[in-house]
Parts: sequence; C-alpha cells; structure tokens
Amino acid sequence: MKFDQSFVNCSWEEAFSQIVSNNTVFLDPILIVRADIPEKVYRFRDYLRSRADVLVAQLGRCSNIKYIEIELLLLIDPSYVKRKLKKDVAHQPAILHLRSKILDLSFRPLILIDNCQFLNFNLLFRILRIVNELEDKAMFVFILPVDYVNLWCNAKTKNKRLAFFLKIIKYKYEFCER
Amino acid sequence: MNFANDKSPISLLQFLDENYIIPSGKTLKWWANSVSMKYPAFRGMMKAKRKILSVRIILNFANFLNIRPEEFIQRQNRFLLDQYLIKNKGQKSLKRIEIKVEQKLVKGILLNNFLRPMNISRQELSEQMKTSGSDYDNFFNNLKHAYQSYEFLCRMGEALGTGGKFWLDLQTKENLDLYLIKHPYQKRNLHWNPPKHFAKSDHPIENNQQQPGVMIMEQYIKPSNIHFHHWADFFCMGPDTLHRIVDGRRIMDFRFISLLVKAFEKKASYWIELQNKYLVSKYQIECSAKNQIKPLSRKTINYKYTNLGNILVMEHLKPLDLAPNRFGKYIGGKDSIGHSLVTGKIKVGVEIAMKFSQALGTTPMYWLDLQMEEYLAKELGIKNCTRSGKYNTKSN
Repeated sequence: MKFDQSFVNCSWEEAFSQIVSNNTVFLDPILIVRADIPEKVYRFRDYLRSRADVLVAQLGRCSNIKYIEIELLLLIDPSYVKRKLKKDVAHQPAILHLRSKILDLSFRPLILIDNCQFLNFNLLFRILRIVNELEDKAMFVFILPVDYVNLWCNAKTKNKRLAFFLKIIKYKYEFCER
Repeated sequence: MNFANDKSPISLLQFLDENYIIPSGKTLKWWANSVSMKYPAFRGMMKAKRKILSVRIILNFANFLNIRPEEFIQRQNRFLLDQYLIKNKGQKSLKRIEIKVEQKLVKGILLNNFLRPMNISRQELSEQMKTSGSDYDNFFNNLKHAYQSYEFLCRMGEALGTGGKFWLDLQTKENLDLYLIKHPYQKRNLHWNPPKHFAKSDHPIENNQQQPGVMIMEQYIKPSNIHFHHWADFFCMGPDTLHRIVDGRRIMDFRFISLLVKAFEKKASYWIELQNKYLVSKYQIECSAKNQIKPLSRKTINYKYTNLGNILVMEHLKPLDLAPNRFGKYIGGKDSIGHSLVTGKIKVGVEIAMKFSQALGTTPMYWLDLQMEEYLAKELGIKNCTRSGKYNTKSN
C-alpha cells in the first residue's frame, strides 16, 4: 500500500481542500491518514464542521458500533434503523433509505468517516456496498490515525477484508501536520 | 447525341423543328405524312409549340429519322426536369429515407450491410431464422437486452452466415452506449469496442466455453477467503442473485461488470468477451443442431415480368423495410398511392421522379428512364420488359 505523502507538513485546510478538489470528477473513495495529536485533530474537526458540503460520521468506541454506524450517523433517523434491525430485516431497506436521502440533497455531499480504526470489519463489505451504491452521488473520505497504518497495511495475512477494502479505495494520502 | 452540356435546354419539338424540319425544306404536310399524323393535328402541334410529345409521336419520329427513341425521350425528360426545377426553385426537398447506423447499430448494419446488398427482405430473413415476423418486430422496436435475446441474435448470425458472436457484440455495444449515456461516470470502467469482422471464421468459438460465473467463483471468490454474502454486498445484490450469476441462470449486466473491473485486475473487455463467447457456445450446444438454420445467399431479382413498381419495391423499399403505402404517404400522397405505384396505375412524371430521388437517394433521371422503358415496351408490344433498355425499333 502506497501513500501519497505530498501533503505532509501542509495545514489541514489547505491539504483537505486540494485532495477533495482533485477528485471531483469521478468521486472515488479516499483514505487519509492523519497524525493522532489531540489538539490538531480537534482543529481538523472544527474545520470539517464549518464546511457545508461535508457529512461527518465520527465512529467511536461504544456498544452501537457493531451495527451500521455510518447509516446511523448519516442522515437516517436512528429510530428507523433500530426498528429495522430489531426486526432483523435485511440490509437493503436501510441502503435504499440512505440513497433516497442523499438524492434529495441539492449538492453532492462529501461523506467523511472519521476514526476508521473503529470500523467494524465484519460490516466492511456493507460499507463498500454503500460506497458502490452512491458512487455517482457522493464522495467518501475515510480517515485513519497514523498508528493504525501498519495494522491496515499488513492486513493481508491477518484479515483479507481489510486488504480488499484498501484495494478498492483508489487514492490514499498520508497527512501529518507537524 | 450529347445534350448534357446544353446551357439552355429546349423542348423536343423545338429541337426537332430546328434540326430536322426547317433544314429539310419540306412542307409541314409532307412531315405530317412522314410521321403518320393528320395534317391539322400536326400543324396545331407545331403552332402551339407543344412541350410534351406522346410516346407514339416520338416513336414515329424516331422510326422515320432512324434514331433510337430513347434519345428523344431522354431529351424531353431532361427539358421537363429543368422546367420543373426552375419553377420550384427554393422548395424544401424531402429528406432521404435511411437508417442511422450510429443510433441503431444492429438494425443499421443489418439493413445497410446485409439485407440491402443481398436483396433479402425482412420476412425472408425471419423465415430463414425460423422465427415469426412479430419476434423480429419486438426485437427491434422494444430494444430488448442482447443477453435476453442471445438466441435470436445467434439465429440471425447463422441465417446471414456471420456467426452469432458478431451480432451479440454489436447488440452489446449498442446497449453499452445506452447504459453509458445514463451512467457517464462508468465510462472509465466500461471501455469496450466490438471487433469489426463480418466473417464467421473471424470468431472461432469453442463449444466448451467456460461459464463466466464459474470462473469468477473458482478464480476469485473462493481463493479470496471472504465470505460469499460479503461478496454479494460488494456487488450491491443479495446472495441469491449472486448465486444465480455464478450458476449461469442470470447474465452479468453492465453494473456487475463495472464492479468486477473495480474488484479484480481484468478489464471490462475481458468480461464482455467471455460472456458473449459463452452465450454463443451455449446456443451452439443447446439449439444449433435443433434449429438447423442454413445461411442465406445473395438473391438475384427476376426481372422477367417486372415493371417500375416492382423495381421500386424490390430494390428500394424492401431493403429499407418500408411498405409501399407508407412510402406513398411519405412522398406526400394518399395511402392508396403506394398500391397505385406498384400496380402501375400512376405513371412516374417529373414531380414524382423528383420526390423518389430525394427520398431514395437516386437521380430523377433514373426513374424517368425506367418509366420511359415501360412506355416503350408497351408501345412496341414487348411483354417481357428487360432492364437493359435495348429497344430496337427495327426488330418490331
């Protein structure tokens, strides 16, 4: 796995807007690796919230993570998904709901999934499905702390799903604000 | 007689007057006797400077002067055509009837490259293919997906001697273009052009062609160590649908192929070729022996008892897949005009010849010449009109 390191030592704002603007034609999913320095991360998150076109799904260490966090954190009403999950309905309705919500938007959103170290890898292919379903409507940006890079890069032997996930993501950038 | 370079064409009667009647120094009565006409009628004709002479009079003149009548008739037609063009200058011309090959790839190539040059009608093709005419209509009008109708395309390939792969490729290209208009972002994943070969030998297909679904399963899904339903998620479908593709019960669509390109290293052309080859081999195994379709050969038209109407239908309308009545409507007449044209009730004059030429992409003189041949054949009592146009007045 190779990372583009040209944005090392840039500010978040500058690097992020450049990375996104390079990819507006085809809307490929992007993986950005960031330094895990709390102050910098807070500033980065503030910047993202200030952008109108960004929908942030910030994954965290909590019990709900094993379910489809991204859908919960995106536009879908949590009670809707919970209700569906209780009934053990297939994944399909939630995706259709998500797609219709995205299509209703007047702009092409940038869906940013922060803290990817908490991704539930059993559900990785569901995320890939969402990416594929929305490939013409929204851009996905995955953000991973730098400490987890080695874990992801050496995933071939440990977990093939991770390796496949990385293969599908076309553009990978390493970003460490010093 | 060369009149192609005439700057200001003159009427036939004027031409005869200037070149034969006046230089001869004979009286009009003598000329009237010579061309077997009554003197008052002949004198009236000369006085009125008639622009159109009947075929009978022209024949009489030609016989007397020992000149081929075609030359006189052609001169008259040429004059009338010029008069018509001067009179209707700036008038909007009809659009030529043709099938746009880019828009309808399969239909265009079928008609322009196969049916027209081979003189085969649509009905004859569907009879050879052992399908009903409605199947043919449904196929072209509804633009069915190539894969749903692969059997139809393979039959067509056998009937035309090209092999089914050629038509499957064309139909796939047509559908792919339509798909890419709707999903332009897929252009980089789904780049494919069909090979341009007409002969069957250019597409050697083995009978035991591997099914793409089995290949995907054996070479990619099983070695990946990723669960089957995860793959189904990735391909944006349920596990059942993916099972159907792997079993060969369902055919890969372009969406699936684009995701295959994303997931694996192979290009779209690899998957499309694989699928098309498999479908042809499937047809060869399952249906080919049962149907026993023989290839059509080029048909020569029997002109023995033909007239202008038959030539119009056989050579021009049938290859265009056009009924005479529809053609009649197109050139601005009533429904019945088509039937009248075919049966010879309506004669082709300058105006109709112009419309024919505009609609069918010929010259107006072509139609006027055909009409002339028919007139001459009738006047000379030739029953079996040939298209060679050799009418020897002396042989009569």
